[in-house]
Amino acid sequence: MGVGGCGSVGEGVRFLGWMEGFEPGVFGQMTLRLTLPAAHFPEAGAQLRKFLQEAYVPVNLRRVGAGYVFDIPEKARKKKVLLAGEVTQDETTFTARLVVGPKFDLMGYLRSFPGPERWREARAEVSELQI
Amino acid sequence: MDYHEFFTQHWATLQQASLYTPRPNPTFGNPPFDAAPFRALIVRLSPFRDVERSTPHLFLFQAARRALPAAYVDMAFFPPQRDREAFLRAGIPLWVGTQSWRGAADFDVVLVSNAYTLELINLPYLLLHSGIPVWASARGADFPPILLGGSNALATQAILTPAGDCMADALFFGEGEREVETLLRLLAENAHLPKRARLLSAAAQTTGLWVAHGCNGQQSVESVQSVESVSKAVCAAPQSDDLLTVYPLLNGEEAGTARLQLNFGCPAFCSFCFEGYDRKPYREVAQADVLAAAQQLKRGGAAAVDLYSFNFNTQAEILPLLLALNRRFDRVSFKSQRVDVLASAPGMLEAEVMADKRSFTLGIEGISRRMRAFLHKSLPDAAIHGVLARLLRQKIREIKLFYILTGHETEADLAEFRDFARDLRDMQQRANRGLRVIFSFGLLVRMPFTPLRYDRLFLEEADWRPVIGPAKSACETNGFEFRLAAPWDEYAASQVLALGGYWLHAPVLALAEQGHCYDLSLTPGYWDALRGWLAENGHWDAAFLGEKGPDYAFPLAFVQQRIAPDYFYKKYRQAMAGEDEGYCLGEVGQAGGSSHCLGCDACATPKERAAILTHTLKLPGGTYLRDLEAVMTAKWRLKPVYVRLWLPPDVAGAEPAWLNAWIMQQLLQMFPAWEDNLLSVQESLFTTKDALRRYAGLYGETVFALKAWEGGERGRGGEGEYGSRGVWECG
Repeated sequence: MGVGGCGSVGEGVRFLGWMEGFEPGVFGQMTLRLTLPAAHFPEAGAQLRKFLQEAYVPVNLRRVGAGYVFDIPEKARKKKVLLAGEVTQDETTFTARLVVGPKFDLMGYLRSFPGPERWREARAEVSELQI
Repeated sequence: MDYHEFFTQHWATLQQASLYTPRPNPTFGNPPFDAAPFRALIVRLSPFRDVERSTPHLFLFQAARRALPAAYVDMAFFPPQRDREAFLRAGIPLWVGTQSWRGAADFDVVLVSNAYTLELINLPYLLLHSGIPVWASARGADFPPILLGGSNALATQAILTPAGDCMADALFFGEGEREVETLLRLLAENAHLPKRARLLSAAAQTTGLWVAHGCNGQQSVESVQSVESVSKAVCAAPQSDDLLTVYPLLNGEEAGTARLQLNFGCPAFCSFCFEGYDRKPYREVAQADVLAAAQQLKRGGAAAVDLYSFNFNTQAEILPLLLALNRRFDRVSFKSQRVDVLASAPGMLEAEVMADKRSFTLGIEGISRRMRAFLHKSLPDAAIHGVLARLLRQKIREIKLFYILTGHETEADLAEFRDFARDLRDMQQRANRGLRVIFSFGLLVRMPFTPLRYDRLFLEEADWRPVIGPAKSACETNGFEFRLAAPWDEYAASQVLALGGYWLHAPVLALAEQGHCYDLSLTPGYWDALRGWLAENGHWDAAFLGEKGPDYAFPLAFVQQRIAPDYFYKKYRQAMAGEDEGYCLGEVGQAGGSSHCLGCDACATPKERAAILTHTLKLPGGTYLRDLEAVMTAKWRLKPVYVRLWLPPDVAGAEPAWLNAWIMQQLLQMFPAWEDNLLSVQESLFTTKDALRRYAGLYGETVFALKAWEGGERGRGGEGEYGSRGVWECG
């Protein structure tokens, strides 16, 4: 049996497949499920819009149900920063599902808050990774 | 006391924030704190960033984990400045476990490692700011026993009073291999006994533990001099189990680099060297045992090993080991070595360069033949010149030459040094102009339990100027870099702390109460205040500053060791007379002559002595260099295979080195058959140089590079259920 046959390779680690022709550091897009403590990352959705706009990625937030959805014009999409996104926030936690390209600067966004060293509190699950 | 509330709120803003992730760190293997039958807190007196490459905290962890597998074992490091300020502002004690976020009082034992002299001043500072009474006599049953050991143990008189009270409840002298494990087991078994009885019982059944007189509130009028002696622990015939292999991965850049110890002690008799005398006799670990430990380190996630030894090249089997280890690890590094061995062992220098060593650190110590004899360096001119001439012909990056200034240098010594620097410049210009040559100087600290403890002290900065200035000028005139290891205040304070008497406890405590500590540098004013205290209290006198006689009452004389005090004095007289009688290591200890025992009495058995006297370096000859070259060349050319993995949320926020080591550990646990093949594991999507500054807190999907002898891009074989075939099959 090979790695793949085992499925799990340790404490919660899962084998997903071998890569052919991979170039380190290079990918097409991925989905980030970002979780931030609301107390240390206030107005995180609006702050993401502001951060992106300051990086010349003109996006807007539109309310949908209990959350917000990013409206991303084609011009902004071409910048390979944010391709799609929706955010929600309750009293304690901000969550976002962001489809991002290789130009998305998560650390820059996290450091744009009043407590820049709080970036360590962020958690972001990567999925639907397209190389 | 539980400090979760503070840490949950503030951990991310602390200077040592990385220590608190992953949380919980799975590699500690701890049970829930409240469910643990025993809890041990390991304390370093320096910040993590300064001790990340060292092993005492890991060694203590191994001892605790082996002795008490179900115990909760935690670590605390000296908080760096910003963290100290944050803790003190919030009323948080400075001793809090990085894993449990609990204070020292919640543990069953506190194990403090003291690695060097200046660091010791942080002990009273930490106690004062952790709500723990400073003296053992003032600490009741509410506080766990505090045990202090480490490589500076024989210079810890500053934390003892003449009456035998101590800032620790017990001091451990010597090598902790085997002993610390037994100690912890005994402390756990006797948990029902009062603290002092528990410690005395453990001391009676082990070697090396001295129990403070005042421990558990008992007052004593005895003097330290009248204390029952304690024997220093020595690890006889060290084997694989004595080496460090079981420890948690701490979240730092060094997580994937293991320290692999080759030998214990040093065979040379350098008159200044604290460790050289403290850790006698010289003992080697057999090649098979070293390799067995290396294999365990690899299973633990190490892709690189750093060979740990006072002098790695005295190891009889060092050349075969270099080859064997380079087959097993992605990187093998080694630093400290004897120049005379490098000069006399055919092929060793070439093998080291071939094994990718590009920076050579050479301890020359004395600036002239006379000074080297005073320092008993046993290093002839010919060896120095021979090695430098050969190194200059090699493709290496830098040479660092280490020197010690003693204060005794004369114009003749300086003239000899100028000639040496000029000759080296001429040689370099002919052979290797681009090579960086650094001269690093330290001022001689006369250390206890060494021959030079009897030497006069040089504690006036002005006395050093006529020596330092010309030495610097000789280096820089010839185009070499000059470095002085420590600033004046640190040198002077180190010297007084190392050789002062039990009276030191008073100024050391008073200065800690004023907020003084050591963190990268001494707090301003420390040395002036210490010197002032000495002058006011009658210790700035000829008895302390001048040459000392054979009857001088040095502190810690109650520590019994095999080398008798008379021997130190005999070697001191030899040093003053410029007599260097070599050292006892087989064929290299005596230039041109046969080895002989120098009679230090450190060897416990004839077998131990014979192992040193008949020591022979194994020089493989034959195809060795070709084999080593082939291994290194093949390794440089290896192309990794990439694998897509999903990581659990627990590891989000881990440093790349931690993540790589942990994944390697997981892979080798799951697929032991890969052990010989796999060399390294490296996350290759979000932690590359460019990507690292753009991502944080990621888990889930990512890509790792597996570097292996077989199964790279070209050799992975056909496709299976998930594309896995060939050498990556796990059977």
